[in-house]
Amino acid sequence: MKHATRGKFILWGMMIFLTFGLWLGADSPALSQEVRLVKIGNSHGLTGAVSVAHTAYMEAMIAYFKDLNERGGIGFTNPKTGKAEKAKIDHIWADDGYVVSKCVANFTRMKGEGIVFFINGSVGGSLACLELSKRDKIAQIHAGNIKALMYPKHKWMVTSSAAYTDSFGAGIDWISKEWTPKNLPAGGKVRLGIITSDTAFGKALLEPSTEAYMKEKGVEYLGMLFAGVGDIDMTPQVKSMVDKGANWIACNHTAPFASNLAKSIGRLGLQGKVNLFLNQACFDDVFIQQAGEYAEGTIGIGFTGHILDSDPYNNKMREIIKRYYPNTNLFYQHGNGVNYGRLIEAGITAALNKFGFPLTGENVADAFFSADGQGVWKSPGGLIPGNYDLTSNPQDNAMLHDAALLVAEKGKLKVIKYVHCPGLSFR
Amino acid sequence: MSTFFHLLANGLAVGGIYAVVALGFTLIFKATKVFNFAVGEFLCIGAFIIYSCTVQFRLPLPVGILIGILGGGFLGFLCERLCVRPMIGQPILSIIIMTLALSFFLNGAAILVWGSMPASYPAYLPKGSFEVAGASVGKDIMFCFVGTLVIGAAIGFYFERAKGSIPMRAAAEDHQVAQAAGVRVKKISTLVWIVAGVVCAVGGLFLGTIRGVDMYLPEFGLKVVPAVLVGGLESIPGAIAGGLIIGVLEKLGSGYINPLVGGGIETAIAYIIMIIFLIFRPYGLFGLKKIERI
Amino acid sequence: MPPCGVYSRNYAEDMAIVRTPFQWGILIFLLLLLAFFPSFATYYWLTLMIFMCIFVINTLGLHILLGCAGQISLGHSAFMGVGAYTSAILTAKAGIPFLVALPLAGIVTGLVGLIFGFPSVRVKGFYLALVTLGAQFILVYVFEHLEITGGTNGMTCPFASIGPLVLDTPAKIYWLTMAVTGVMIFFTLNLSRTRVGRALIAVRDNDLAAEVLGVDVVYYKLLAFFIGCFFTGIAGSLWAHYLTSVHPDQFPLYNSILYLGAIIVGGIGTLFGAITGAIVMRGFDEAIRIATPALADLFPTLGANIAPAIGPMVYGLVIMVFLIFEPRGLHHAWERLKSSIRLWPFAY
Repeated sequence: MKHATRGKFILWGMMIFLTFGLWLGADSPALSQEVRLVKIGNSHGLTGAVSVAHTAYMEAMIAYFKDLNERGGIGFTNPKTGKAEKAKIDHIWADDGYVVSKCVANFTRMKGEGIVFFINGSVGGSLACLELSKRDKIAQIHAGNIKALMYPKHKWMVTSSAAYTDSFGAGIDWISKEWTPKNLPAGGKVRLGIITSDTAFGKALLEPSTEAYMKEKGVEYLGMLFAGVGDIDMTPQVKSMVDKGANWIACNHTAPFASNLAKSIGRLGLQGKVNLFLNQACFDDVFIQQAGEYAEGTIGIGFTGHILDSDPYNNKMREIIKRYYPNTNLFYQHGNGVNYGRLIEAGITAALNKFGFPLTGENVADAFFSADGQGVWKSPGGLIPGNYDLTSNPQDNAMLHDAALLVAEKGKLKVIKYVHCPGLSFR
Repeated sequence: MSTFFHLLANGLAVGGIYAVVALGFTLIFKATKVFNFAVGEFLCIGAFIIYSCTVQFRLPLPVGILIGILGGGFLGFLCERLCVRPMIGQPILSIIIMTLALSFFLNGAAILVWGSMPASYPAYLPKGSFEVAGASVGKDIMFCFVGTLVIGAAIGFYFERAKGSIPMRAAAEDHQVAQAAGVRVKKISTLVWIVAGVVCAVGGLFLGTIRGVDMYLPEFGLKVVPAVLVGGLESIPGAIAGGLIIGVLEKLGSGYINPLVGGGIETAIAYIIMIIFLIFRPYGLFGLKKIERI
Repeated sequence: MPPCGVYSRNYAEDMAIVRTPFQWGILIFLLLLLAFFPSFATYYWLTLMIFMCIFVINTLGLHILLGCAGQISLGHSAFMGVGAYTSAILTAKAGIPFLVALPLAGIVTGLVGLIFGFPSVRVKGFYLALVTLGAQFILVYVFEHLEITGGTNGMTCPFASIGPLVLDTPAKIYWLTMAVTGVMIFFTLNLSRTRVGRALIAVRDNDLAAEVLGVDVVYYKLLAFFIGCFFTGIAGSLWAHYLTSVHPDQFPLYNSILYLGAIIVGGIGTLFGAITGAIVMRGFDEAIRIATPALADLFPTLGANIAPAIGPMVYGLVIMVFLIFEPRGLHHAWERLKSSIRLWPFAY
């Protein structure tokens, strides 16, 4: 047989093998059919620009739901029969590479498989799937806490934490109330500039209401400068802000971007003279590791407490994740994934208790969005201290989430205090 | 004025990295007419290999860098042998798609081996900055700029002038005639891919030093394209000059124009400049003039 | 080559698209199948077909540009965005009915494509490809920074409506998309039979010779850009009205590469190749994503990184192997298969 023909046989053989393999692989059911299954879909960018955070979320969620199923599933009282029953979660997940068309394709495929809830990982994907959610009546929880996605509040969007601008507001609060008296001379003003990326994500920090809030709190706002995500150095932007008299610089992106900013401040020798404030998504262990010594003294907001902290709940969560992913590096964002898992478990439990089995997407949305003003879920502690209220009221005055105000000290994230995020995003 | 120097210094530093990668790109194009879209991945994998050696295996830094550079070269060799060699004689578009597919494959392979966690090298460059005309320029940035320029100039000079590179230049001119003169074109092809792998690893080293190593590095590969075109697609000094020019113009643009348009102009500026050059001077600043009046 | 027994007696027969009763039979069967598809298809297959059709229309546009006229375009994703945004802005902000907005979106995209095709007057081949790559980045930048497109937050648009009928279910949107796809395929088939098509092919094969023969190369190159981007604009409009939301993130470079890959894998230069390539690429992409969790179960202890990393690796690997062994694409492989069956047991 000639060389080329042999090659072609190999090629076609490989193609047919792959096709059948993928087809069969796709068909493998995860759980037996006797058990009641509640299907939820999950699409995150496990490859692509933000893969580090999304992989962590995904590992935590997969581990969480696998552990939940192994413990027997969700226990609920079926309102139709009055009996105590169990339901397991069929967690259908996929990678969308942070590409919107793949995310939308995942959503439609999972809807076809009968999911009742969707977990989304990208801002663009969430915006695209928002319309599909409303049309197909499947609520989703999303990663990008920007105002355009979250408000006006409706039942097809569930969020687990405050909008970026709200948590920034909490930071402004703390800076003006508690940092200023201790660090500035009497009559000294906080001058804050924002250096962030030119994307919806980066700009989500600032809404018109946030500017008004800053004025109200006596913080002088110096404007927003942009830096590219791939920029090797941001000293021009930092210098520009410092020349305007900045004593605080705020940022809203991912840890690598923030670490670049910290390094730039350090290069100019301004560490300690200019303070850095990092918003929710960037203040994690990756930032500390990448910024090295330049991370010292950075202040920021974290979604939750830290999964690496030593307390019973966090210890248990770490053990669960390590059981399924022994080689993974646990860091801050795993805690976020656990947060999602707990939230969804609570919501699905409430839905099952209210509507019984089988559930529709609308049932789940209603359960998350109960109109009686009483939260679905009060936190039993652990990653999130205090009450974690998930309602309901369309103007969301209950969405004032508690967040942790953190400082980077000696290479670790330490909680300064737990703060209350003002509702800037719906003013 | 200090802002200008600041931006200029930053632009030169990033331009140096563009220059080095553009050099690899141009060498491959010059010798084999293949557009290599996988340079970003070479950059990324080279940087990660150095990271593995220095941080995970705790080898001393110079050894780690050497292994990384050799690894980059070996990667180039593998890619040429397995992906480009079978495609000799195919239409050029197929080879472009081949390199694009190669970039997907290498991207996946990098995530497979190293995960998506960002990483950084142990600090080895001097810290702080020094004042130039009112601008504080980071010492590590200047070091990288000088480093990339020295290496780029050395390799460029070798391939442009040295006697040892005459076969390569002959192959770049015309494959048939070079073969008639006894030059082994296949060997030249392998050589340029190895060199491209090496220079991309160097670029990855410097980029990783200043910025940190993560999966954003492959995107740098695509930014090299305007640099190569502005300098001239088949010219080695052009690649270096083009890289520096695009780097500087990008930074100056982002500094001066961004406040006017609300941000994000860096990438767009590089491509706008490229299109302007393509319309008015398609062969770039130093490229060979090939005029076809159609 | 047509098989034994199929011959042409006059020019009309020679140029006919459907030649034998068997082909007519298959065509009618296929049309009936596609028309009644929603009655037995699930939600997933309906939406998959909608995506597939939009992808096919896009690939057809690229086919005209690349397969017929030989101009490489790496910016088709951004051109689709132009069409999507135009259609969204016209229907949402100006209240123009969908049936008018659809062709308008195509025309506007064609004009934008024309602007980026102007350098084709001076440059060829690679250089043109890079201009279109520049178009990809510049257009996305424009989407992100214009007031009217909603900037980085994107915008929403209403469903397509034809008169009083609002197309808001997947079945209705499927019919619209399938109908438009059918029309576009017919256009493309016809294009290659006309004078314009032959001129484009002449430009592709050797533009110097074409110019010498009297074909106005500049005009036809620009025309190829216009038509190619017109198709993409139509696809973009359908995309916008399916999703009812448009955002700059929906048109990344990755998609441009996908369209190009579809043409190459299917085989440059033939319509059958373009459509097959589109279906295979999109389907393969989907299959990899479906199989990822199953792969993760195979390697559970190595972390969530394995499975998603394998996705792009397998994708890239298959395309590379395909290009090495089947460089002329699926169409050529199919033709080879057909002729080997026809000629069996002879070798040629």
